[in-house]
Amino acid sequence: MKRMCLLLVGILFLVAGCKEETVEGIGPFIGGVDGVTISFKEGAPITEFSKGESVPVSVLLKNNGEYTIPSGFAYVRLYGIKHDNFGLSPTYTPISGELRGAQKDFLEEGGEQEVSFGSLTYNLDVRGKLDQTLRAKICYPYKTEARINTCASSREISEAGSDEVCTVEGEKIVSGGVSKAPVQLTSFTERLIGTDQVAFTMEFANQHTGEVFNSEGKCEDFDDATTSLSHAGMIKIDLFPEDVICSFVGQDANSGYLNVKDGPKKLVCTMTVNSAADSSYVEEVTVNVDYKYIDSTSVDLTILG
Amino acid sequence: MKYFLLFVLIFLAGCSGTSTIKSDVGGVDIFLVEGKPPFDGIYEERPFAVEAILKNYLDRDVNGEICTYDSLGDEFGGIERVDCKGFTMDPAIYLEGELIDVAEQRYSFGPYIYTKLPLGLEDTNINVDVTYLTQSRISAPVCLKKDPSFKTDFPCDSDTILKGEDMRRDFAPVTVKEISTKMLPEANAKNTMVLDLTLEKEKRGFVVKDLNNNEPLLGVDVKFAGTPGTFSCIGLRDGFVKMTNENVKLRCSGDLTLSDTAYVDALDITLNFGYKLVAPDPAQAIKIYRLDDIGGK
Repeated sequence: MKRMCLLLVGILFLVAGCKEETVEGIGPFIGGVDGVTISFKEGAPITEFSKGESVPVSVLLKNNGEYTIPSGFAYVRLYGIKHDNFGLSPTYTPISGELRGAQKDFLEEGGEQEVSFGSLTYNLDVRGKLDQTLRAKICYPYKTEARINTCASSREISEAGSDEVCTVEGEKIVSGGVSKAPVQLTSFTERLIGTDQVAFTMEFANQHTGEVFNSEGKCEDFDDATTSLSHAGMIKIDLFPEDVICSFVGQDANSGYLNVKDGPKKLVCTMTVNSAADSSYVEEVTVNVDYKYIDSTSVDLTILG
Repeated sequence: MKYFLLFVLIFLAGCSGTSTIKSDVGGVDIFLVEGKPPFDGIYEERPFAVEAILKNYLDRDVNGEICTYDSLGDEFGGIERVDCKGFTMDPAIYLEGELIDVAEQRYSFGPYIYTKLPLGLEDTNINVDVTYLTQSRISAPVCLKKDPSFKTDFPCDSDTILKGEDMRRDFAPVTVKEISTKMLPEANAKNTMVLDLTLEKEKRGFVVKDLNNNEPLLGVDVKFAGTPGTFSCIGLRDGFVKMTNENVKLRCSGDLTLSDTAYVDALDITLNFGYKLVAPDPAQAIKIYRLDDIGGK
């Protein structure tokens, strides 16, 4: 009995030890990988209905991220079926009204919207019963913002033996340092290069279930086999201060494109440190990432003849 | 323990479903009533009858003809030429795919009498055949993609093989066993789809074009429920294929106008044909007894 008690106590300690340690967020953002979720409204459509029956179709949208999408910029579309067969529209419908993003310490929940597609009716010949999957997608512009406190230092400063205000080594992303959004800045590290520069290595990745496209592209372009190729995976990155220069494909600038279609991608940037400084100092680097994101949902339908 | 086992056995027996067993001919089946005709022998100058039961396992009404005939010449009496009756039968009742009840009808012929049988004539064959017109409908969801190499965010393979549960098939004596689909890339705003169809016929029975034409021709119609396009098939003549074997292959191709990058539409195949069954199958000779041989008048 005594042994049993000891074993139980041991298990309790083990379970307690497994609990993930939570670090209090110190950045300005809530943080996370969610964007806008789309789901069919309960009962719209009902999952089994008869040929000729009129069935309402609606989707619910919820902005779980931290960027507010202005009215008319996000679009929803039904797909995966032959639209004419169901009397549905094949086009993208703009969402009127903004989809407010969550804000730390102010608005913990993002905005919600319901979009109605009217009613579907299947009037074609049904042999016994017909199984179909109705899909809906949302195509929306989104922005990820990261604020990173970098350590502005240089070999000149460090070799001069002055006081070190900050350290160059280590991961610079802190909890809450990147806004809640599907594309994330997943790593930000620094190293000294040359005599008066620091180099930043950043890693960007699509961390959610949807697909990323160029913010400049139209939603219709992403559905086309040919035109989608030039847009797929492209994210636009802007860095501030403007003297942060990054090696983008074809150009060195503080703004450019990176393709995250096939997985996480690294970007290397440099920043010249103020040569007049007699010690290292903290410099906030802002990283803005713009893109369009597509997420989808589906519902299985059975049409009875 | 003994009672428990007994209870389990009773319970399992109760779970075995409905007792109605589907026919293995995929449509209307025919059974001869015992003694009609009398397979143990027919006597000259003595009447005999022919009686058959038809069972309709199809989920739709059936129209057709039931006929009886023998192998002897009309000069000996018996069944002169062919004795036929038209029939219409109610559909079988299915509930969620399970057969609940089957429509059944009995058809009587005769009486018939053999006379003036010549010396040396020892047996006859008496058959009943049923011919009915029917339709077999096959439906399968197929994902249509303008560019077969385009990666969609949902499962969509234009090049696929459909069989078994992938298709919804009417219970019928002829159906589609397998469909192989292949989509060619879009050209001039159209996509060509190539379909390889394997048609399958039940072992018993024959395909006939209609009630008055015994040619083994089966009408085939292939189309998508909502996607415009016409299919033409190699092996079809005027929309008919010769169905003499249990399996027949057809290659069909059609130019489709797709309304979206990728979507699922129902491929609908309709087979129109007549079907004939003969009873008894195989044929069974019936001994005939001449009055002179058995000493009667």
